[in-house]
Amino acid sequence: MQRLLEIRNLQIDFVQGHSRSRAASDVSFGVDSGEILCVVGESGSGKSITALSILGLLNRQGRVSGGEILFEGKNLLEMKEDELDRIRGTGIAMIFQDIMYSLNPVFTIGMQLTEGMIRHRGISRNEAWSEGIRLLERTGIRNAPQVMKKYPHMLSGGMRQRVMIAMALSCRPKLLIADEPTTALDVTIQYQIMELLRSLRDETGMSILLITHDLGVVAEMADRVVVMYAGQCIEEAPLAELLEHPAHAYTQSLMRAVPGIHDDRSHLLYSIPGYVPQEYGEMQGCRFAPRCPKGADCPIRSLEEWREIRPGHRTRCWIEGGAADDR
Amino acid sequence: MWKYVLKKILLAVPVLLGITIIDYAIMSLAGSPLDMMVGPRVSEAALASRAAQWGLDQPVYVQYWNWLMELLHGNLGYSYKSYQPVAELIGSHIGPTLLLMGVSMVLGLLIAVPAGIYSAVHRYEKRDYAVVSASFLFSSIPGFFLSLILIYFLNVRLGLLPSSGMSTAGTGGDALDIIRHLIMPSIVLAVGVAGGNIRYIRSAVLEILEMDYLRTARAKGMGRKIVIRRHALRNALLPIVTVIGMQIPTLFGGAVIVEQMFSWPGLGLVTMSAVTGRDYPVIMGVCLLSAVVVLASNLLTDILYAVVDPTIKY
Amino acid sequence: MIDEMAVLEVRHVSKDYRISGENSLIAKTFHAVEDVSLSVRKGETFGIVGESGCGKSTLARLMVCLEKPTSGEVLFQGMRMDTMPEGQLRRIRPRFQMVFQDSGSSLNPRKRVQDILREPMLYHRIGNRQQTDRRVDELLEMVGLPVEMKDRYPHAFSGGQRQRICIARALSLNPDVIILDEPVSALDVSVQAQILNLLRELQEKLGLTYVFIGHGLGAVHYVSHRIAVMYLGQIVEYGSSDELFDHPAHPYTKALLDAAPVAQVDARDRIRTSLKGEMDEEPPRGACPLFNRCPFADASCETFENRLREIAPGHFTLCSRAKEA
Repeated sequence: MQRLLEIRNLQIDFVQGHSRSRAASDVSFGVDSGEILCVVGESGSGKSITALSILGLLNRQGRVSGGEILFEGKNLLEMKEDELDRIRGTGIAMIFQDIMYSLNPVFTIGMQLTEGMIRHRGISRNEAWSEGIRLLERTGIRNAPQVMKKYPHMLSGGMRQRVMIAMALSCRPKLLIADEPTTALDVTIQYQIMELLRSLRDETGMSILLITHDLGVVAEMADRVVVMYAGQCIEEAPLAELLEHPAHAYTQSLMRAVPGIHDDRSHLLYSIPGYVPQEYGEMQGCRFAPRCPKGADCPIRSLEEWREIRPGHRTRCWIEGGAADDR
Repeated sequence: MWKYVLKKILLAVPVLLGITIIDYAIMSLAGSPLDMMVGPRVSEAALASRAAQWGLDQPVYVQYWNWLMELLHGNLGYSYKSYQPVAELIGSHIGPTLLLMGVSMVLGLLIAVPAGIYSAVHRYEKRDYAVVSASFLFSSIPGFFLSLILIYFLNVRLGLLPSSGMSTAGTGGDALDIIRHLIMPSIVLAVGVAGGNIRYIRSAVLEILEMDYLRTARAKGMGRKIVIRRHALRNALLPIVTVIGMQIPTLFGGAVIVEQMFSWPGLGLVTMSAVTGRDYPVIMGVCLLSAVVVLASNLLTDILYAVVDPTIKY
Repeated sequence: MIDEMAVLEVRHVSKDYRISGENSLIAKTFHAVEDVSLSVRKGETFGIVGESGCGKSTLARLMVCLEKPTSGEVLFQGMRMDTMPEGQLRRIRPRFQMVFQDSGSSLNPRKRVQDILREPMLYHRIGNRQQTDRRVDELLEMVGLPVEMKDRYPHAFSGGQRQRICIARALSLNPDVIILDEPVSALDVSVQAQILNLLRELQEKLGLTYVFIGHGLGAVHYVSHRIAVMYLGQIVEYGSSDELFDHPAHPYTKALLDAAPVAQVDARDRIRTSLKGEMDEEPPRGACPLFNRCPFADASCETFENRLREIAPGHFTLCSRAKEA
C-alpha cells in the first residue's frame, strides 16, 4: 500500500551567490494515512528546510538538488506551479511557528480564513464565512463571529495559532505539516494546541507531520519518530521504541541532556560537548562522530548504510551495543 | 477617529507658532529692507521715516508681535515693494503653483510606485539594475539642467511644446493649452522626486516580500500572482503613504526653481523677488503658507496611515 | 519573612504602567507586578517561573534597578536601592549584573568581543590596559571560549557561544548577584545543558548568587535551589525546588507541571490539571489571580485574604485550599 507521503533521498542545497553548501542529504522517510510522524532535531538539522521543500516553499537560497517527494504517488518536485497550487491547502496544508507575522497584518481573520476556501472549494463568500466561524469554534476560539472581524495583532499567540490551524483545515487536507507550531507559545497553551491537533487527527483521520526540537512534544504527539542531525536522518522508530531503546548515540545523548522536572539535582546534567557543525555538507562518515561519547568504539562505515534494530526501528549508528545501552 | 484628528490639529498650532518665530528671526538676521534702499540720493530722513512707517525702528520681537497681532485679525500685511496686500498677492499666484504641484505629484507617483514594485519583484535581475540606475540618474540631474535640456529639445529644436508661462499670450488659456504648458515643468519636478522614491518603494517592497505571511498565503495554494497582488501590495500602501507625505513639502519648495526656468506664474517668482528684495511681509506670508502646507501634509499622512494600517490605534 | 542571609530582597514591590485605553481618553493602569516580596540568599539560585505576561521579566528589572517600583522596597545587602541617588547607585551596580535571553541583540554587533568585555571595566575605571587585557583572557577561559577568538565579532559565534560571552561580560566586574532572564530559552537542548552546567560551575567557584528566570521548568529546576511561581503579576507559590515540583501546592503550579511535555512513554496519558480558557487581561480583584480559570475554585477563593501562607517549612502558597503538610 502506498504511503500518503514518501520522501526519497532528498538533497537540498543552500545557495548564496556562487557558493553552494549542502543543507540536507539523503533524507528519506514517509508518512502513512492517519498517523502522526514527528521529525525531531536541533537547529541546523535540516528538519525545517525539509518540511518547507515538500510544498515548494523554500526561500530564494534553498534549492532541491536531488531526490523525490511523492504525495499519493505523484512526485511534487516535478509538478508545475499551478498543479502544485492545487495541492497546497487541499491535499497538504502547512502551519508555521507564527512568531508574529505568519498572518497578514492588514487583512481581517475572516478574509484570510475564507480566501482559500473560496478559491479551492468554489463556495460563496457567505458560505465560506459561516464555515470559517465553525472552524474557529472547532479550534477552541470563543466569540468566533467577532474574531472573524478582528485583525491578527489583536489576538494572542495561542489564538493566532488556532486561526492558522483553522485556516489549514479549511480545505480538508489529507496531510498537515506543522513546523514547530508550539515553540513560541506558553506551556499551558502549548498543551491545549497539542490536544487540539491530536483530536483533529482522531476525528478526521488527517495525517500530521510535526517538526519540533522538543522531545517532550514528541512524546505527547508522535506515533513514529524520525531523528535528524546535521542534515541527515539518523534514526527512525515507533515512539515507545525510541524512548525506551534509543539506538543512535546522538539520540541517547539528546535524551540525557534534557533536564527533567523530577531529576536529582545533585548530578551534573549530561551535555554533549562541542557544537552542531555549521558546514556539514562535505563531511565524510558519521557527522556526529566528533562529539560522540562513544566515538572511540565507532567502526568507520559509509553514511548510506542503515542498521535495522527491530522491525520499524532503524538507525545509522553502527556502534555495537548502542541499542542495548541504557540512559 | 475625530479625537485623533483634533488632537493632531491642536498640537500643530504651537508648532506653527514656533515656526513663524524662527522664520522671523532668520529673516531679520538676513538684513533689513532699508539696506536695499540706500543710495546717493536717499536722505537719512527719508530712510528714517520709512523705517518708522514700516515699524523697522523697533526691536525685532516687537516687530514680530505686531505682525502676529495683525495676522490674528486676518491681515497679512502689505508688500513693501508693490503695496499690494500680501494675501492678495499670494492668493493670485497660489493657483498655478498648486496645479503644478498636484500634477507633478501624481506623475511622480505614477513613475515611482510601479517602477519600485517592478524592481523589487524582479530583484537582482537586469531589469532591476536598469530601474535602479535610472532612479539614480533621475535624482542626480539638477532641476535647472533637466529643464534646459527639455526646453532645448522640445521647444527650440522640435517646437513641440511651449517653454514659458502658463498659457499662450493672447489666448484665453483653455485646458489643452494649459496642459501643453504644464508638461515640461511637471516632468522636471516629477522626475526629481521620483528618483529617490523609486528606491524607497523598492526597499520597502523587498522587505514585504520577505515576510512570513506571504509564505502562508502560498502554502494555502493562492498562487504567486494573487499573493503578490493581494497580500504584498496591500502592505505596500504604507510606504506609499509615506512617500506622498514626503513629496508634498519637497514639491512646494522645488517648484520655486522650476517656476523660474519656465516662467510659471506661481508663488516661486513671488517668493524669489520677495527674498532678494527683503520684502518682509511677503516673505512671512509665504513662510506661513509653507508651514501650513507641511503641517497639513503631515496631518494628511497621519490620517492616511490610520486608514491604511489596522495596527494603528486611534 | 525577614531573612538575615538575604543579599537581594524585594518587599511588597509593585510596578504599574499607564497605558492608554482603546476607546477612552482615560489612561488605564496595567499592574505588571503586584505586591511581590522575595529574598534571595547568598550563594543560592532563586528561580522564577511563569508564562508570558506574568511579570517575571519586570520583576527582574526591578531587582536590578533598571526600573523603579511604583511602591515597595528593593534592597541589596540591606541597603535601599530604589531611593538611592543615581550617583551612589552607579557605584554599586557592578555588584549585580544581568544576562538576557537574546544574546544576538544584547551584544553590540560592531564591537569585537574583547572590547565588549572590556567596556564595563573601562566605564567603572577599573584597571589599566594591561590588567584589563589579562582579565579579558581570564574571563574567556572561565566561560570556556577560546582566547584566540577575542578579536572576532559576535556574528562569528553560535548562539550558545554568544550567551557565554554575555555571561563573561556579566562576570567582568566581579558581581555578587547575577540576574539571568531566560538565558537558555532560545538555545538548543544540547547547548542549554552546557550553559546550565557552566552556570552551576561558576556559582560554586565564585560564590555567586543567581536569580534565574525561565519558562522551561526542567532547566529552572536544575539550576535553582528555590523557585517562585508567578501568575498575573503575583507570586502564587514558592519553596525549594524539589519540594515545589514534587508537592505543588497551588493549582497553577500543578497545571504548569502537568502541561510541560515529558519525554517518557505513556506521559501523554497521565491525569492532568488543566486550566480553563486563556489568561485574563486583569487579575480578579481581591481573589486569587487564577480564580477565573481554576478547576478547583470555589466561593472561599473569592473572599480569602490574598496572602501567601506557609504550609510546610519554607513552602508558601496563595491557595486557600492547600492543606498544611
